[in-house]
Amino acid sequence: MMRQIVWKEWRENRWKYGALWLVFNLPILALSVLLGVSRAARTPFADLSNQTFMKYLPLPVFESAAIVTVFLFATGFLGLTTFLPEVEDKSVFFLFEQPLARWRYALAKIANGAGHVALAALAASLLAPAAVYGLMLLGGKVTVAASGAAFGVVMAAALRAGLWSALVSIAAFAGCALIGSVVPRWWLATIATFVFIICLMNRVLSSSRFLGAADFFDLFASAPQGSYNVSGNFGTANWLTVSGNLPLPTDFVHWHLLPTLTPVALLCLFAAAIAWVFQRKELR
Amino acid sequence: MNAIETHALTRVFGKTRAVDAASLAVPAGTVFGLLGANGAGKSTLLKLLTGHLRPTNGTISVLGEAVSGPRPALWERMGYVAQSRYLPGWMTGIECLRFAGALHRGWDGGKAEGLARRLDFPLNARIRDLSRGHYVRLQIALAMGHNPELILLDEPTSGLDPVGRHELLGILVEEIGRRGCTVVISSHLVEDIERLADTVAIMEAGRIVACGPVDTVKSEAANGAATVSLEQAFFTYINRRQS
Repeated sequence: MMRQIVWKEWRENRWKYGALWLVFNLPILALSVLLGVSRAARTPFADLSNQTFMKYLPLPVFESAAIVTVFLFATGFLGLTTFLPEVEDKSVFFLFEQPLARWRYALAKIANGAGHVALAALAASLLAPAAVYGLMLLGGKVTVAASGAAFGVVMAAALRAGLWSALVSIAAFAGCALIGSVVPRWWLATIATFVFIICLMNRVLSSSRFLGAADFFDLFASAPQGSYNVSGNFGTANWLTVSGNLPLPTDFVHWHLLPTLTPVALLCLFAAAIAWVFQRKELR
Repeated sequence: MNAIETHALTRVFGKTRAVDAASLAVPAGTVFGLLGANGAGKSTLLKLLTGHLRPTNGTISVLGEAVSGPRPALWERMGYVAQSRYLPGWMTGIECLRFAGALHRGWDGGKAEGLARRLDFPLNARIRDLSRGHYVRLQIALAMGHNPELILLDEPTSGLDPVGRHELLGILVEEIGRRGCTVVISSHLVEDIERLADTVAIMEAGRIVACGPVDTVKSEAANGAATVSLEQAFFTYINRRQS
């Protein structure tokens, strides 16, 4: 069953999935193009020492911040168009005429879409710092031996931020999918999606304190404080602190179980609501 | 044994009683015709039988199972040809058949694709590009591909040219003769029903105004006079009801 649903979803939504991956990676793509065409943009990277590397490397961790703010609209659009087209043209009833429980179909679609969204968010969050590090290595003045450990810290912070942004994204995806399955007109659903995303974004921005961050940007940029000591010929970065312990996945103090579970709970709630809505849908 | 039984089945949309206290029994292995003008409630009744609509009142039993909403397991035993067009337009005919086939345990792929080929159906054309005639042919192949015990057809010949109608009805006759499945066919084309049906119900404004074997319905309409055709009987019942 799942294989058929995945095939159908892929055929129906492959361009939208591609667009989502493209949007999520726009900042790093834009940076790469900028570095390629602009001498001025390359200036900070011209004499890369490990110290300047420390200064600039955490910047791409902001990719995750973009994913849970402005790019949430792209995720919302994907969520909205997961059910809306087939509800509008009633082709969902073709699926309802198969020996397949409606709730299973709804949940399979949500699982498939949420999987794509989570993967895209996580991959973009990790790709950005990795790509910037790659550009710096290509510059020839940063060595893996001296900067590898610090890169590991930054990637760990990116992983943490990426997982969290993936969770927020799938909650947004499921919420917008619910809107698409309930609201019968595309323009009304679009307005509702916009309002929902604004509200969610506001909530995300105001909830960073739950994650132990002083402010929203600190949430993404700072690695947990601890005993980690970056050895080498560079000092502590003056703009961001990247020294500390790697945030291990099993460390719930660092992973903040409750706020992490909130998007998961939202996803489950929205998915259950969609399943209920599908169970009640009638062919008029 | 009855394949379908309804008792006082009612469905209300706002102030309209689309189906009003409909009670009927369709014996297994027979062809049951639903006759009525446009808007008489035939499509609503069929959607209630499939579980696509929920009854406001009354009970439904299909193939021995109570139906008051979606019953996914019944779709293994039932095929449905809808009047409205809602197959996914981006799929090709063959993709649609294989998709449905993968979800049905009893799917007979050879039969479905053979049926489509026999009906001169363009299997590789996108559904959105299909004419009404080809679309109905695909629906028929989908409805019959898993050898269902019950086939529900909602105005299948509507919009078809005479050749298409002849082919479609021929396939139905063949299918019924070969497997003895139960068929419920709704139409406002009386001659189609008269050609196929053993039993008939006439609907008017949501109510069943006559129901029984075709000959009985005709003789009751004749009311002791000479034998009438099913079409004459249909108008007799409608006129009686309206007066």
